[in-house]
Amino acid sequence: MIDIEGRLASAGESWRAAQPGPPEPDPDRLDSRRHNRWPMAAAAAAVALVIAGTVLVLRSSPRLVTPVDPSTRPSATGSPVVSRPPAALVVRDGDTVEATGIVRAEPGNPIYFCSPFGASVGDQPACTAAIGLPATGVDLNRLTHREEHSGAVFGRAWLRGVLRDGAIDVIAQAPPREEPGPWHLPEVLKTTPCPPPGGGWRGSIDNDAIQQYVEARASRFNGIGISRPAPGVEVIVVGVSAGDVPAAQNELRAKFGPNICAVIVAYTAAAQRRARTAVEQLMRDGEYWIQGIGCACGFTPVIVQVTMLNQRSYDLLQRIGFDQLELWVWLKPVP
Amino acid sequence: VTSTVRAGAAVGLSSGVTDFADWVRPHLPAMARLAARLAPHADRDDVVQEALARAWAKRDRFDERRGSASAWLLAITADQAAKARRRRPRVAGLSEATVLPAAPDDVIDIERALRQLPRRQRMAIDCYYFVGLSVAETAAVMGCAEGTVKSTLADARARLRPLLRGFT
Repeated sequence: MIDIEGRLASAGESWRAAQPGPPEPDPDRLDSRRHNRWPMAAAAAAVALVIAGTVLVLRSSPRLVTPVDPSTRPSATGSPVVSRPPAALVVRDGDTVEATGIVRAEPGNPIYFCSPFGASVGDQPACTAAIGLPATGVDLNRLTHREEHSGAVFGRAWLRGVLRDGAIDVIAQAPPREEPGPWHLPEVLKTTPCPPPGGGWRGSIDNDAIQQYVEARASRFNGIGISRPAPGVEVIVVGVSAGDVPAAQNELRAKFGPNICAVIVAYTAAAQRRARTAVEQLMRDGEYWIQGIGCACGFTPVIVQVTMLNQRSYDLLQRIGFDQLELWVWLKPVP
Repeated sequence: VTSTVRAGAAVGLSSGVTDFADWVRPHLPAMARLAARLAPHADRDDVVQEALARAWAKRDRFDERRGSASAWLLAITADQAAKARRRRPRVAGLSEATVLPAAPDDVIDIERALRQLPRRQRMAIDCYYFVGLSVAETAAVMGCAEGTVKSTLADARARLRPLLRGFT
C-alpha cells in the first residue's frame, strides 16, 4: 500500500526547502498605487528613456557584446548596495567578517548563522551547516524577529566576528540591517526603455509566439521581459545581443505589433548558458558555498548567490569568467 | 465604516508603506511559495509584488471579520498567479533561479503524477502539501468551502495512488 499522504507531505517539504526566500515589498511599486501617479511616473520615465534610446541607437553596431569590468560595473539587479570587486569579497581564516542574517539556536547543537535569503522549511528558515556557519558569542536575548519552531530559537541580527576554522567568533552584534537580496527585477524591466510608437502602446501581444521567435534566434536575441508603462498596458522588452537594434525592433513590431521594445544587451545566450552550466556544476558539488544561481537572462549577468567567498570558490568562479557573473555574497570581509 | 477603519488601521492605512510592509512580511513566504507553485513559468517575485500592490490598493476593503489577513493576501496572490499563468510570460528570469537542494527522485515522480490531475485537484494538492497552507487558507485560495477542499484532496489522493504506483 502506498503512503500517499506521507509521500505528498515529504515531497512538499522538500520542495519548500528548495525555495528561495520571499522578496521584500517594493515600496516604489506600492507608492505608485498610493498616490495614483502611475501616468506621471510613466511619462517621466518615457522622457528619460527617449534619451537613453537615442544613445542605444547611436551605439548599436553589428558587434554589441562588450566585456564588462566587474570592478566598475554597477549591480545589474539595480541593487543600491555599493558593489565591491569579487577579489575584495574573498574571506580567509582570521578575517573579520560581517552580515545580517538568521541565527538558529537549538539545545545540544552549535548556534548557526545563515543568510536570510536562503531556503525555508514551512515557515521555518532552513539554517544548517550546509548553508550557515557556527557562531559563538551570540547574545540570543538581542535577536529580533524571535520565534520558536520545534524547540529551536530563530532570530535575526547583524553580526561581526572573526572567522576561525569555519566558525564565527562574534565580536559585535546589532539589530539587522536592511540589505537587498540577490533576486531583483533588472532596472530595464522596471520602466519601459523605449518611447511609445506613433500610435502609442496598444493592444496585447502573443507572448508564446514571440518567445518562440526569440528563442529560435538565440544568436541575435537574449532576454524577454514584460514592462508596464501604464496600468493594464504591457510592453514586451526584448534583448538584442547582436545586430542592429532599431532594425530588430522594426522586425519584431512588423510581426507581433507595436508593443515591443528592443534594447541592446551585453550578454549572449550562448555565453550565459555556458556560464550557468559551469556554476551549476560547482553548486552540485556542494563544497563552494554556492547557494543559488539565476538571471534575468540577457538583461543581467548570471547572478550567483554565495554564502561566503573563499579563495577556492573565487578561483573557480574567476575561471568561469567574472565578465559573465555577478556575485551576491552574503558574509563579507570588513574592509 | 467601523470595519473599514479597523481594517485600515490593521494594514497601516494611516501609517504608510512601511507599516504595510511590516504587516504583510509574515505572510510573504507563503505568498511567494503560492506564486511559485501556481505560476511556475512566471516571475515569482513579480507576481508577489503585483499581489502586494493590489493588496495595498484595496487595503481599505480588508475586513478581518470575513477572514484572516493570510487568507486575504493568499487569495490576491492566487488571482495574480492565475493572470501571470494566462500570460505565460516566462520572462527573464527570476523564475529560472535554481537553489539547492535539488529535488529528490520521489519529488520528481510526484510532480509527474500531479500533471495528470484535473486542475482543481492539482491546485488543492499544490496549496495544501506544497505551499503548506491550512485547509482554511486553501479554501480561500480556491474560493470554496473547507469541506470542498477536504473532499477534493481525498479525490486527488485516490487518483494519485495508481499513478504513483507506476513510479515505484
